[in-house]
Amino acid sequence: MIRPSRVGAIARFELVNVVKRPTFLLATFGLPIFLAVVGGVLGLVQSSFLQRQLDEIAVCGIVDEAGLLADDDIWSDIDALEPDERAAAEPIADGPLLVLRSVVFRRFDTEEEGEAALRDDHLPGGLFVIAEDYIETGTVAVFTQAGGPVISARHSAVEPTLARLLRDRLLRVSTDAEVSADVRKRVLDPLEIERTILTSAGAHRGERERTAELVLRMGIPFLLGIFLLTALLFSSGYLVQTVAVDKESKIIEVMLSSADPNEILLGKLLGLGAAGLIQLLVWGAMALFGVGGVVAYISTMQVAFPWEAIMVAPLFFALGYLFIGSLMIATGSLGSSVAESQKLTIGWAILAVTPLMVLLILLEEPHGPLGRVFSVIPFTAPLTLMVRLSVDPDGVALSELALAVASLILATWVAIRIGARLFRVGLLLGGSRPSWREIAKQAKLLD
Amino acid sequence: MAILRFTDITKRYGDFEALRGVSLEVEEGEVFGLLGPNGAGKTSLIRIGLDILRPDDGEVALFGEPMSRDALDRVGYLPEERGLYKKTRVLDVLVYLGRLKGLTRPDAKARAAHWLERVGLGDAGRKRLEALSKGMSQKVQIAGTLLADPPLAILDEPFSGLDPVNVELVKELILERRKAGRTTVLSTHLMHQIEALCDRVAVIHQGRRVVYGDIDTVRRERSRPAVFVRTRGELPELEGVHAVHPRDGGFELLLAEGIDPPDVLEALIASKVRVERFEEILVTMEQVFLQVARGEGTWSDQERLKEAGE
Repeated sequence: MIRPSRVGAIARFELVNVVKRPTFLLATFGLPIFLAVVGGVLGLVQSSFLQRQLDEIAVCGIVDEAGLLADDDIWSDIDALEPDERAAAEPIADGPLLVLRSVVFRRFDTEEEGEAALRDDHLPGGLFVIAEDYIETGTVAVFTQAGGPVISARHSAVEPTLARLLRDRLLRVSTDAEVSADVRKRVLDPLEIERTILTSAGAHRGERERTAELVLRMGIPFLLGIFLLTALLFSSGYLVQTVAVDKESKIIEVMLSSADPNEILLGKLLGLGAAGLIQLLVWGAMALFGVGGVVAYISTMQVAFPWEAIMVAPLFFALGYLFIGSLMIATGSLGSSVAESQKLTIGWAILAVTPLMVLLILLEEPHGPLGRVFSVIPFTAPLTLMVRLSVDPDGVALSELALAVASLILATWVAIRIGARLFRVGLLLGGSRPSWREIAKQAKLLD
Repeated sequence: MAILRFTDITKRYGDFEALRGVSLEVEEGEVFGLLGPNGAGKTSLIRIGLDILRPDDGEVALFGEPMSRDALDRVGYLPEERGLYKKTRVLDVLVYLGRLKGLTRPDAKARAAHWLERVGLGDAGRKRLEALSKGMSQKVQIAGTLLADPPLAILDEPFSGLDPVNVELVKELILERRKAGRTTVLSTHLMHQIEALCDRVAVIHQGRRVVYGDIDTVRRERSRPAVFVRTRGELPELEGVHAVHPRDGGFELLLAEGIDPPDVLEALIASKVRVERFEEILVTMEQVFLQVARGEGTWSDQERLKEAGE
């Protein structure tokens, strides 16, 4: 029977021992501070760039097929503009212009005229075509030049300005008549954007949103996978190191005469796991400051953020760590040197990130046979479920999550039991690596 | 009561048989010497006694009961090959070792401080182990082994790396334990320490128990009957004396079979010669060890072989 006091004593010792190491403190605090300094400098450069972009006057074209902007009173010619606005609108000065909050709109009578101006690079803010059935559908087609940025501060400033303009026009049109349900709806939700990128080959719809969503839905599980792999590699480093020290110093004999191998293995796992957790928490907290702005920006883009995957990540990380970690300790102890132990343990970490190797299949068919099978295999369950929850959270049944948790807990229990036996053998038959037959015999895996 | 009992222990590593049916008992309160040449199987036997290794055959009883973790909490172990966490402070390591034996943290701390004082390292508690000399580390390890005041302590080569002053200190600790009724199993190659400290011994050779018993009995069994005599005046002719060899200003008398040393002394007194020194010549434990290591039998075995002309 495992005695919690012994497990606690070992875990505490391992935790304090690791946490006190200068390398740990350097990795935990020094690395983020270094990254923060580098990131801060880059951030300053970026924010000043973005600010400059926002301060720039955006010039865009507008084609009003709905007749909402037909009133000539709102349009003016170039002479009525401020000097900086005039300079920006110079190439398209031969038509009606409207300036609103640093955005210059140039009206075109037809889409073809607008597209020609866009192709001539006269409309860096894009071409907005208000559809004929705008009041019913809210459709506004946005054309941008191919090769434009995926995320642009200038684009972000134009759309709210256009929304204000359209809302204002809708309310003016409605003052004399009864306000229809469609108009009320449009006032509340003035833009249903359909994006099109103009290329030499033709037009592609909605590239920007699709790209952002693809980046998120592929990026989050990918990042989580990298995070898990990093955590496992860090832990494997610590685990192998502690086992190597125990083995080399022979203190393991004293430990084995005092505590059960299960207790030692569990104590080490928990202690070093806690050290890893502290490291991840510090990194996570620091990262939150760094990426908070990015998350806020992404959330304005109306793409679904994979919260479900992020919510379950800690649970699956913890279970995955305990499972893989116990296998790592066991096999690591069989190595005759730190280098050999590292080689023996690395395989487990690679198994854990197998889902990344088949990421395309999982993204294409998150709930297909591969996704479902990988979700119950303890090695692959943590990452597979994160991918599936990122892509389509509604397709993952609660029972599947419960099954994955149960399979991981069961596998961890088995891994600790077998791991503890191999651990004892590996540590005692030190010097050279024992034969597999001897390992099996000593571990009582064979009679 | 037998504190530690091995019954018919066999241990194999692949085709190699490290222990072959070894049985022995360590009695409560004694200092028991476990001896044997390198590779004889001592460490395997000790590890089996601590449940670190499992035997292929045979049984181990600790404190009169089958092996259990609770029983192991009452055993202190100083392994032959040792080392501690070099980067860790001495006090922290001792507290950790105490906690592994089930002591509470405050108790372990108090005992660690006491034991550091006891081994003369009272001011080393805050130092890292890597800052200590080999001998000092050795004393820390001994302190760690005895910290929980275990009823049974197994000390494998406790004197290695120690200067004569510290050897005396460790001897003192072992004798204190015996006085307090604590049992100690001592494995060392320093045979004079075995003679000085142990009540009983076992010698393991090539996986077998070849010598076992009370230390005087063992020496007597292995010695050919002989006495050393120094007299004032000429040594008279004595009955039952097989041969006389002059040595160290006196004579070594080899006795015939069946003749006891007291018979010789009685004969000497009867002859009116003045006896200045008379002592029974017994082999030392070192000689016993060498006999075993060289595969030589006892004196009587050798005599029998000689008589048989082999």
